Amino acid sequence: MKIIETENLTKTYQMGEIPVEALKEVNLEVEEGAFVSIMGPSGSGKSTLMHLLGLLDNPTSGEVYIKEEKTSELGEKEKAKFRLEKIGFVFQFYSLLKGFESLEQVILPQILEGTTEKKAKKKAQKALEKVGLGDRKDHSPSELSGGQRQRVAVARALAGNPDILIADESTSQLDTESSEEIMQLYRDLSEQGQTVITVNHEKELGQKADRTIWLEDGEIKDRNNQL
Amino acid sequence: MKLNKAKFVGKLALRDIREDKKISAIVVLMLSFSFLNLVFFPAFINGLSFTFTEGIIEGQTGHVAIEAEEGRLQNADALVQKISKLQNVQEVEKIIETQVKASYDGETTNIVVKGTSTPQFKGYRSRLTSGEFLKEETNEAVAGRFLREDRALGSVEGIGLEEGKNLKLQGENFSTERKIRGIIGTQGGIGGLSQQIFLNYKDIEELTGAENQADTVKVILEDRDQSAKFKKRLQELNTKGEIKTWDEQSNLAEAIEGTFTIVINILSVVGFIVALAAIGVVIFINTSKRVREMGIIRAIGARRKRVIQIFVLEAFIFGATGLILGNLITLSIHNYLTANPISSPIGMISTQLSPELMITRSAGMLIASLIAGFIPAYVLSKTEIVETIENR
Repeated sequence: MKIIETENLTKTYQMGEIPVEALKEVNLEVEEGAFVSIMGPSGSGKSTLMHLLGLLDNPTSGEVYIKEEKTSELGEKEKAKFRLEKIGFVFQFYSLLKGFESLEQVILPQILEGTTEKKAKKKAQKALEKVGLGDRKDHSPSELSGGQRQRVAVARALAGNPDILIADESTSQLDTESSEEIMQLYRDLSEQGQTVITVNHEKELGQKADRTIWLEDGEIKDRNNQL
Repeated sequence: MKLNKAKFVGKLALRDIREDKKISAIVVLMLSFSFLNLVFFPAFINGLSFTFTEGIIEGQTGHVAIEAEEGRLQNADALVQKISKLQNVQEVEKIIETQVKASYDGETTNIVVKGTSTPQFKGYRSRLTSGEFLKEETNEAVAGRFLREDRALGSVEGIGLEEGKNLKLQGENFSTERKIRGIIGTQGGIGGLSQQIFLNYKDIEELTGAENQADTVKVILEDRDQSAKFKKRLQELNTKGEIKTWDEQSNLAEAIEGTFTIVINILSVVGFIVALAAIGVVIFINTSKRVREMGIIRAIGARRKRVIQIFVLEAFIFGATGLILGNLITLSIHNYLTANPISSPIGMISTQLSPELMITRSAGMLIASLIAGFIPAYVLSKTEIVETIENR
């Protein structure tokens, strides 16, 4: 079953008076449970594509379907609900909130949208265990290594049992060992049935995915099904 | 909003306040001084206005006065007794006034002599410049301070009079001499005390032969706001004579109060704008520091209104803390000034702090905090998520 489908997805930014096409009519399909890595040089449109798939930004034209639902027709409230329930997003940079312990980081989005604290804590604990940080739930970000912080961010993205996990260059700030650990974590999650879409700068890391997509100048140049 | 959501919104809002304690303390201090600015200056001007008008009321008009429509009020004792029994009455004074030539050490001036039946009235005693006020049953005089001068002030020619000396009084039907027991009045001459001579009522009654009569019966009430109501009550009791409240008698008092009200209103508007700007700048700087974080919170599923709630709550916490501190500072200064009023040419000035002033300004300050928190939060919440996330 197709979980994501894009139709002539285009994003044009206005740089002063000059329009810059970051994505040009991208057509992409991702099957449920797939582990996809999007790769390409800097400025190729990888992050733009991730933001559009994660409903963080609106396309200039074209459409994103998630579970066959046309997302351009969703309002702000519905999009927020979509991001909360269907999409887990892991950012390129450390995105944890200062002053919150790991467990609080993970339960925060759910609590803000109405899940009871007891339920949210249970889910958060499970998500932290899934990323191997069950024993670090009371640690604040400053007490965690870079890799551990990204794992907490992954746990936060996973806690709401999303249909899709989107990771935008989530290993770019990490050392090689931690990067490989995070990619292995995505691999493990994928094997448990989680749809994972990552953006990778380094070829070796990207090739851990089932499928790589090469983006260049806002267009898909190569689709490779490795498995 | 459910309690657990409120808890997290609260935690997010409080976290920033806690994280930068020094900045937070400065912000709270700044807001408390904004509140002080909002309350203290109007309270001080209220005090100024109060001193002015109180000088006129106690020295001249009373809260309510009854004057004869023609000649003098007759049967003044009965009128005083009748009024004394009414509610809220603090003092009832019958007054006989007469114009005299006052002479001392070869100098002469025309001046009003006022015979008062209430020499114990604290309004007189508190405005003494030197010496003492009249004692009942003694035939002495208290002179306005302008008589002490060597030059003319207002309508009075200074005659260089001194306390303890004898002053010659030449009236229409009498000529006498009285020892000066004290000097009364303020430097500015508010209320006319500085421009008259006081005798006991009985003394002037005998001198003028105006037995059981009065030019004016002056009533001092426990609360000046009751003046109009009291006038109505006197009219209902068919009191003879022309009854006027203090503001009806003195255009000056009314004008002073009206002018100060305008000044207070202008100061309040300026104060509110300053407070609004101060809180707005603080919250704006705070939101600017946290643009990306708010983007992340929205990216992981929070709605716009949560972002607004966080900043509005933060603004509220700042506003409320500043308000508590501001109230404490204001009350401390008010208490100090009440115990130690400032001496000025128009009299002793302290702040007049009414509960209404404190409540309206506190409410205004809180509303200003909420508005100042809401605007930048709303602007931030309207920014595209990607734009906020990429703000590093």
